[in-house]
Amino acid sequence: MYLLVQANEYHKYAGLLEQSLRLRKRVFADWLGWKVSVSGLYERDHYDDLQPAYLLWCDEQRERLYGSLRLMPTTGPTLLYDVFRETFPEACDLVAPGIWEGTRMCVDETAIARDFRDMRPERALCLLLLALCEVALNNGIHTMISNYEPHMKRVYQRAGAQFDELGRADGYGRFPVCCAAFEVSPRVLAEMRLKMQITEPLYRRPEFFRPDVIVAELASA
Amino acid sequence: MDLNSQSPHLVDAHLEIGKAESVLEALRILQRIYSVDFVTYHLAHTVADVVDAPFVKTTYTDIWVSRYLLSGYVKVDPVVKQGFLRQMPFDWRELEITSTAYEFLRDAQNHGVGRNGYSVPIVDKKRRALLSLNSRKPPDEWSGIVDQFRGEWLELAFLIHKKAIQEIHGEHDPVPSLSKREKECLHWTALGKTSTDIAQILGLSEHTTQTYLSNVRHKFGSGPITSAVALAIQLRLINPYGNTQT
Repeated sequence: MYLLVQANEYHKYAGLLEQSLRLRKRVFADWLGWKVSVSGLYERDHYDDLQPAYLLWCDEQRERLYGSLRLMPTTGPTLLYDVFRETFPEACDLVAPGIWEGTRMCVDETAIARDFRDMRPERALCLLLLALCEVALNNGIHTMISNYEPHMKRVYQRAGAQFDELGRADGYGRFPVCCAAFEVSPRVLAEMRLKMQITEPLYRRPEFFRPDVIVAELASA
Repeated sequence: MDLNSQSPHLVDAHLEIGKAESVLEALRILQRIYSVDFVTYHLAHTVADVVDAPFVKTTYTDIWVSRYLLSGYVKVDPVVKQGFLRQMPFDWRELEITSTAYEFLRDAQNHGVGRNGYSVPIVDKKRRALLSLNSRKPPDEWSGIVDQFRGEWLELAFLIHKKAIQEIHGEHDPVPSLSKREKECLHWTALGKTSTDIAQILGLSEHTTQTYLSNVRHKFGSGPITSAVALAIQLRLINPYGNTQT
């Protein structure tokens, strides 16, 4: 299942968020060799202090994490703006209420191999991308700015994503880092579902609580 | 969604809010155009800022506002509490209500506050604010209104935020700085090209072209693209008839 966790719910999903920071350390520091801020078993930077939203992919019990990414509005401080300002001037001009940045997107290949037999890591990343598209659309986001390694470009294209690569930068890891603007629209969502042969939504927004009903009950009590 | 085709509500709201003399007047305009019952703008207390108290403007009744302040409800109000933690817009029915908030909600309703609401968190480079709309309409009807207008409210929330910052700091909007791509898109728009044409000329997708144009509109205060074109020419940011891109 997929969860969108904002600061008001961090405490509820502390275990999953901790797994996410561990996973980021394994993926970005250990595996890709990016120069990211590692402390102990975690990769965590000061953008994590700015109450970002996290998209988490986990099991139905909400115990085991499969993948995660971090979401921040481009109207506020963002990593791509601050870090890649020189390299991607065009990406950094994309600042508006409906444009968000997605960073630190990663999947736990070991956990996935164990729980989803025959699922390739590329497929897992595409599922996370599709869930991201659903979440973004559900929250009034029309464009996602995101970074990825070059080999993912064709994978995302095959998955039906629509994006313009805005630039590539060397020197962050073993491979260049690409930055792109991803279109978020019902059209793209339909195309991605078709190409990935997925019919059901991956992300379900939580049901409403009904304070009006509760309050009415209180009033009559 | 075509980012640059605007609903009549949004066009009117832009125009009128742009001309409004105060944040409070802007809130009243928003309330009238979208037929909601109350609107509140709340800029969070920030120590680093010139103002040392939160900046709150609201159309709620004076009686309710003073009761809210005297009862210390700001510490209980789940909209405020969660609104400054969340980043994405939310329907008030998504709020988890703690037992302390029950009494508050009941009191609010007794003072004419509607049961339904929608809030837009506003995040800029150094501040956080919250725009909230409140409605007495039944839940089903309210859901339809939210679905129809939430995109417009998101944009207008930032317009009102800009107005509040001006009201507090007396800053005049500096001339916006446009990127090379934004200038190119605006240049071709000034020459009557559609986003489809521009996408072809610049070798971009139509969506990205629209995104650049939507940015330009945002930087010029979110009016229609035509007024951005006029202003950009006036400010000599683009020079479409000189045959050279500046």
